[in-house]
Amino acid sequence: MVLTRDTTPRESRPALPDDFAQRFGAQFAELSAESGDPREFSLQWGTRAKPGNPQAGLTIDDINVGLYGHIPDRAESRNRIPRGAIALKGVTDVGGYSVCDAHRLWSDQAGQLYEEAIQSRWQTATDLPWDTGHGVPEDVELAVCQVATELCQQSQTEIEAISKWFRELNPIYHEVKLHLACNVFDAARMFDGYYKRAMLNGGGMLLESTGYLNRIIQECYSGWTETSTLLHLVRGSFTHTILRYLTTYGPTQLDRELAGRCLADKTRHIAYAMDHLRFSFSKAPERAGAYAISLVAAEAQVARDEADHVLWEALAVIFGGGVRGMDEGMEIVKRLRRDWVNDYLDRMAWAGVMRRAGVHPALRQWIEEPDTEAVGS
Amino acid sequence: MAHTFPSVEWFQALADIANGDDDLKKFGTLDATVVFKVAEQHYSVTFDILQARDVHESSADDALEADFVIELSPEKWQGMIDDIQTNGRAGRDWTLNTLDMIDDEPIHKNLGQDGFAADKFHRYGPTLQRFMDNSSQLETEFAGAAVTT
Repeated sequence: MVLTRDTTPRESRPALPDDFAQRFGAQFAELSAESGDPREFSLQWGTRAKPGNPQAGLTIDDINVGLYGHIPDRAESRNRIPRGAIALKGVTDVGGYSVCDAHRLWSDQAGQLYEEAIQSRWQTATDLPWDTGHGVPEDVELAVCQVATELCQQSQTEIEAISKWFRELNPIYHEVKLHLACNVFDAARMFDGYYKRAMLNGGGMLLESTGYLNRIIQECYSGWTETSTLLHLVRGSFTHTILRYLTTYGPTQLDRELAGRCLADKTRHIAYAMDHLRFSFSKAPERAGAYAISLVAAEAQVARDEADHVLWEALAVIFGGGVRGMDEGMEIVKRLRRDWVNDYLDRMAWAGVMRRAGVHPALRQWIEEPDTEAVGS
Repeated sequence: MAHTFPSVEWFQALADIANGDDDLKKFGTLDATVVFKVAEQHYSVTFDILQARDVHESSADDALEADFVIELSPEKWQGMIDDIQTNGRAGRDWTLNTLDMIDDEPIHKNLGQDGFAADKFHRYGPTLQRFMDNSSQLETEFAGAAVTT
């Protein structure tokens, strides 16, 4: 890192406040034998950030100016130092922050995704038409409660899986951590929304899912990239497809709007993972084998979850408008299963992982055009 | 004043409404170039965070540069706009999400097969739906058809 000093002649600089040296100067003087004036040894004093797009205001990406915008391939410090700050002498690693390589967490999209997340402000309590969520036939209501239970469980898994990794992700890549903080918030909001939905008409929480995939997401210690791939691309694509279908087949306006709002959030999470995985491959193509192993294990667990009929039957009741329409609803469920597997494989292909040929046999039945791969640009 | 659909004027009027719609901002930013395809005509709108701008008729080649193209038959465009004008917003059968899913072919695609860009259809879905729902405020006449309000 190049240390850029302020070259303004000392005598022409405005004076620091009288009490500066007394209050802070001694601390800075420890770093510089010459002066207690931080302008002389700040890594890049005088760097100013400006909004890049007046519509967007001053975004997190806009402050990436000069050395503050230098995203290192590898973080040198394993402590909480913000990017561009001056490390104290003698401070050792504080523990954690084991993910120090950009290729293990970085995405160029993370800053924008963070901005989108905080700009998209909505709350389940007041931004959803709760009054439209009544009058649902009891069999459909029970099915909605079952699906809500599973979506709550998926949200819990997401919150815990990401939270567990926060301490391992080096804060020098702050855009990623800010985006993931919003991801946790989004997952909390989805939990909140579907729990409330289940409680609206007396149904409440029903049967927990088999949770095989949940478990390996929680217990993935291979790395953050692998965890994100399982969480955002395997599970995320599945959740995304369910939400997409609920935007159309949800029995009430409330159900459709709740799903639509969560769908937008979920697409952001998937966007991070796609872009991160593609970046990771560009920097460390030799890790492809490790990802493939993670995916083989994940797809096997997905297959075990898929063998459980509870979720499919609940969705069939919703899509068919009741138990009597289950056969028709199950045809829509088949489309849903086809869509999720193909969307998952397309996203993996965009990131650089060609899985169609090797996908788990239980998922292969849903593949369209097995000999072709979607391509990214 | 009636605006003819499809036309640059119709989409520009919709963009003008969006740019003055404070409620639209609550649905989040929209940062994408979207092409609306009606039969063989293409209308491009660039959504720049909270502004819809640069509305113009584009060529099929230009559509390759869009994040995604939304393509519906003229009859379905009319059905959607009629429904929005009747109800003030798209009913379940006429939302972008429903139209995207109900047939075998989705209505949105990135012509360069860039799945990341195509996903923006869902990422910005609520805002995009609000954009279309604002057509309830436009007196619309369809080319070769009667005026609908």
